[in-house]
Amino acid sequence: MRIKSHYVIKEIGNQIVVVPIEKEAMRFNGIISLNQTGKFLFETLQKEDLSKEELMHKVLERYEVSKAQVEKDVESFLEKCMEKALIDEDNL
Amino acid sequence: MHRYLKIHDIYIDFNYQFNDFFSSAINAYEIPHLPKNYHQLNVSIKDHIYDDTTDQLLYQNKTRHIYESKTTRTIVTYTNDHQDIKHIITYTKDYKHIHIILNQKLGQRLAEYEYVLTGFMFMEIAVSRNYLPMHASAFSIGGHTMLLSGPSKSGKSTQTRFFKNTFDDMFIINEDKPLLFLKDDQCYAIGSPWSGKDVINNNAVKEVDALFFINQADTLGVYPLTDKEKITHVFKNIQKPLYEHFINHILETINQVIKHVKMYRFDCINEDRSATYLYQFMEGRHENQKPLCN
Repeated sequence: MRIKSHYVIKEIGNQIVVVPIEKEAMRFNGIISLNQTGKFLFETLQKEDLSKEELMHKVLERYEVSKAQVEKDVESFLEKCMEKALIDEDNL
Repeated sequence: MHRYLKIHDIYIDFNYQFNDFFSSAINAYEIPHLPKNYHQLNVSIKDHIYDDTTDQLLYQNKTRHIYESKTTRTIVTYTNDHQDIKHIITYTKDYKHIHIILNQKLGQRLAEYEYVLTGFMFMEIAVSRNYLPMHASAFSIGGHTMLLSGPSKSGKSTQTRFFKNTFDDMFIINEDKPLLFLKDDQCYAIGSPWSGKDVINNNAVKEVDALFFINQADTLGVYPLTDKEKITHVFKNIQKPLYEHFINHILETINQVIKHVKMYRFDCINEDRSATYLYQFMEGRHENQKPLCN
C-alpha cells in the first residue's frame, strides 16, 4: 500500500500538516495533523509501496521502541489514513 | 458591462452580463485605466454549450469534469441528470485569462451564477497573489477591526446582524469573504465586490485586531486557541488552492497570520447581547482582561 498522490506535507509554525492538492483537494476538504512519527510513516508510504509489516520494520530500524508500541502506532496511523481515504486502494 | 477594477493591488478587466449583485457597490473599485499586470475575467451566455475539449481529463465526479493542458484548465459542470452543461470555466493556470460560459437555460438564476462563479475565480486570483480569502464577516467598530469566521450556517450572518443592531458606527469591510494579507508583520483585511448574498462591502483596507471563530453555545465566552486549533480553523475557513505551487504561498501566509493575529473561539448565543459581549472583550472590559489593542 502507499499514500495516494496529490498530498503534500508542510510545516506551519510548529505543526506538521498534510494538505491535499489537485484532484484530492476536490475530494477532501481538510488537513491532517501529524506528529514526528506520523510524518515519518506518511513520507515513507509516499515513496514506497509497503505492507503493514514492512512499514513496521522501517519504524523499528529508525526508532528505538518496542515492537508492541510500533504495531500500535502503525495500526493507529493506518486506521486514520483509511478513514480519510488516503491510501491507494489498488495496492492494498 | 465592462469595467476596470482595482481591488487593493489586483487589477481586473471585467466583462459581465448582469448588474443584479454588483449594482453600485462595484463603483468603488472602478478605475479608468489598467496597468500591464492585470487579470482578464469574462462572462458570456450561450444557448448551447458543448464539452468538446481535447485536453486531458484530470478529475471527474457526478456533475463535474476537470480537464487540463500545459497552460490551461477547464471545469465543465453538468446538471444533476447529466443531460446538459450548466457552465464551463476555462482559465490559464496563471489566472491571467478567465472565461466563464453560462448556459442560457439557467434562466432566472443566470445573474446569481455569474456572481458566484466570478467570485470563486476572483478568490483563485487572490490566492495566486498571496491573499488569504477567509470565510468571515470583517468589520470595524469603535476603532476595533475584527473578523467573525465560520462555515455556512454557523451563525456568522446572524451575529453580524446583532452588531448592526447594536452599534451605529459599524463599518463593514466585507460580509462574506474578506481578503487578508500581511505587511510588516501586520495583518490587514480588504473588501471586494464579492461579499455574499447581501452584497455588503466597502473598498477599504483595515488592520485586523482579532479573529473569532464562532461556535453556537448556551453561554457567552471567548477562549484562546492552541496553535493546532488555529491552523485547523483557519484552514477550514479559507478558499484553498488546488496547485502545489500556490499551497506553499498560502501555507506561509497562514503561518504569518497565525503568528500576528490574535485568534479566539467565540461561544455566541442567539441574542443581540452577543455583540455587546464581544465588543466589551475587544475593549478589555471583562474581568482580569487587558485590552486587545491600544
